[in-house]
Amino acid sequence: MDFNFSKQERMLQDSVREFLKDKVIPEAAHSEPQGALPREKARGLLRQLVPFGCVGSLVPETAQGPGLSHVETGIVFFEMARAWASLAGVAAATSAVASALWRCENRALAGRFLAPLLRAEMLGCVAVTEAEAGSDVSALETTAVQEADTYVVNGTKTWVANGTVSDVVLLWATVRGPSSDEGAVGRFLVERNVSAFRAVEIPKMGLRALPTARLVFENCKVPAENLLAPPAKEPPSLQQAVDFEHCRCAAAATGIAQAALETAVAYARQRVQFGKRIGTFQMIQRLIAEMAVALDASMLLTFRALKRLDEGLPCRKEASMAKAHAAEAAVETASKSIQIHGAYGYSDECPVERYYRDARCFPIMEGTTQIQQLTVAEEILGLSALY
Amino acid sequence: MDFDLTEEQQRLKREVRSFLEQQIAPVAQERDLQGPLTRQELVGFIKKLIPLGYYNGMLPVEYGGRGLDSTTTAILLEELSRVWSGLAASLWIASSAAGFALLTPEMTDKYLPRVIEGDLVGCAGITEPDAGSNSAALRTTAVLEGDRWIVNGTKTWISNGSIADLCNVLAVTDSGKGVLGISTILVERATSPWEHRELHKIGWRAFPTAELFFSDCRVPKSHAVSGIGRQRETANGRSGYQNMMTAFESARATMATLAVGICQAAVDAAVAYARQRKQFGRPIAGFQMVQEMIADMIAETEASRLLTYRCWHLIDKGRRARMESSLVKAYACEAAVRVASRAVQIHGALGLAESNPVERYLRDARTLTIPDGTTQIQKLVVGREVLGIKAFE
Repeated sequence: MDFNFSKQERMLQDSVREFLKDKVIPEAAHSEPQGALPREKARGLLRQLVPFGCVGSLVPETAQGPGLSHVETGIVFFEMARAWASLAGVAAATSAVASALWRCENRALAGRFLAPLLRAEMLGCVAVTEAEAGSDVSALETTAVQEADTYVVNGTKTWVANGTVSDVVLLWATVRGPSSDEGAVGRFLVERNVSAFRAVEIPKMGLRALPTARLVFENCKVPAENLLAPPAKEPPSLQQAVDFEHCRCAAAATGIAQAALETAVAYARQRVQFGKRIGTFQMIQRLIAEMAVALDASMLLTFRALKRLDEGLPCRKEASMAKAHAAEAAVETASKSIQIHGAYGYSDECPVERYYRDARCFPIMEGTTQIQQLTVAEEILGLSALY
Repeated sequence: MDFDLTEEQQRLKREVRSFLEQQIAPVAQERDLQGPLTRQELVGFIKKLIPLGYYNGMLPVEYGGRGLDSTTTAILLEELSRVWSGLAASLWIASSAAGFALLTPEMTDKYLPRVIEGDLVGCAGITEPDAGSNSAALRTTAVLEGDRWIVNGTKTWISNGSIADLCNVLAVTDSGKGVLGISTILVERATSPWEHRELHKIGWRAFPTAELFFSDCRVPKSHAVSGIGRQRETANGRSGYQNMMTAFESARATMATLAVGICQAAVDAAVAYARQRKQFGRPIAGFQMVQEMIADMIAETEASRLLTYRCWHLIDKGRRARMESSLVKAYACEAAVRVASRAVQIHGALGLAESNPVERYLRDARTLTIPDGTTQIQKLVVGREVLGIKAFE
């Protein structure tokens, strides 16, 4: 078993890290007090990340995509989140739309939108969650009623990352119409400048620069040709795609933990109190050791799962383990980093408080820790504790 | 052992909670997000809360207070912290002015009338950029020139520092004598001005925190009110050193009290949300994982509360609480972070929304484990008290 990245993987990591150090890290601290990134700034930053494979990473070169492996994608999201987790979120949302288009049945739709998304000329978002459909997305209340060659959409989506800045929305809705089964779910690509809807910013504790919105659809008309595939009872979301999103989240959370540990190590080595560097105190060493173990475990779990995806192996359990662990470890690691920094750590003069607030989002988004744990236990026991 | 509050205390707690729910809770989240309170805002809240016993209630009746004991004062602060911890903390530190007014007859003449009015904001100037956990390494100096102290130095992370009228500054008055050469000088900003720079924090955002710059700041000689090295009598009959040491104990117990308030707020919010939020066809309160989280939150809240009020019991009895106050400061503040974090988790994404106070409970809790002695320092105090061996360095 080789636990190291390959030479090629390390080269990719180094080149992304170098770029982020000069162009992104300084921007992150500066932007934080201003809240959600405006569209042009988000787009501008994302376009600079395109050459590193950060947008639509998994889309193969044959489809004009970066053609990264799952492991390589994990690496770039790890690095992006280490620099600025909110920006990783902007990339992830757009990438998720790109990936869905690349795989979907409607090749004409893909033909129109895949390329602009891959170039970050367009930003995308995925709208699934509703006020009454969080952990449980089985009964989406947003409806798309068929009228000839149009669907009329009514409903409200919430917690949509990139929602306020997206050009296109991958919308999940319950479909009603002559050609659909009862309870069928349709996935639509809604173009903002064709099908009007309202986007309301939701300010959050963490990932503050990641624009997050409530999307209100009121008799919003979406062309039938914008369906990714015929509506179906079981939304055709590959288990593999779900597993990958869990891994991507885990990789980003791990990046935050990495940043938190590095900052704490640097501080502990230079801060002097009681005539000694605080890194010489046993309590500080205990914190550093625990942070390092939690971080390494996150890395190993995350990349073990990503590797399985590259090998075409089932990875529902491994992906949920990685997401659950890495998200919780990121919060714990960032919290310890704050503590090591003393008062400086809870002030905005140091990035660590932002790492903590950003990390705190991860045990909730993309499937809460509790849901991930139920998935893991179900995989192991063959018993469900949910239904 | 009687674990119950007295009838009087229970009545007060109910009355105060009701008042705060109506008068303070509705404005807390939105105002807290905007940042530090102005002096005017804080004084406005102080005046509003004095009738309930806040700010000057602990003063003896003959000084215009209500003679409230520490336990009762703690109940008041716990309830306020439950509703708006940043305000509770700022009011607590402001009320140090009440103590300043008792230090000498001169201070009483100068400051007591304003304390009765609720129009005097106090703070303590201890920490410096290079003197955090190791506060004895402070470098601010106070040199006596004729009838004036000349104060020079920089203080940082000073609670209320930007809005305070009075700052009790810890300074070196006799260099080369270590701890025995450190005194406190009460600096009145109106007559002995200082500059400040506001600092912004992850939590307790309404609670002003600042860096203070004293540059040849001239302070009357009589304002060296409580020397650590000197056994000066003060109006309450105890020496300056004794006051300082027991002040640390009260400060630690108060931090724990504020933590308990946040814990309770988090428990109340989580219980209410879990009972009404439905997913998978039923209230999430019916899921074992959620029930376990709630049970753990309550255990930690109750343990914190009991440890905290045990401390106040000792303090009200005039006994030392060296180990107990450090123990509970460490325990309750760390517990508040865990309890508040579980409350966020139970709320799902709503727990991260700025519109929801639950996100503030976590940010406020996270700010507790560092000031007034970090968790680590508190544990070292416990270690010293119990083991008889110092492990600070």
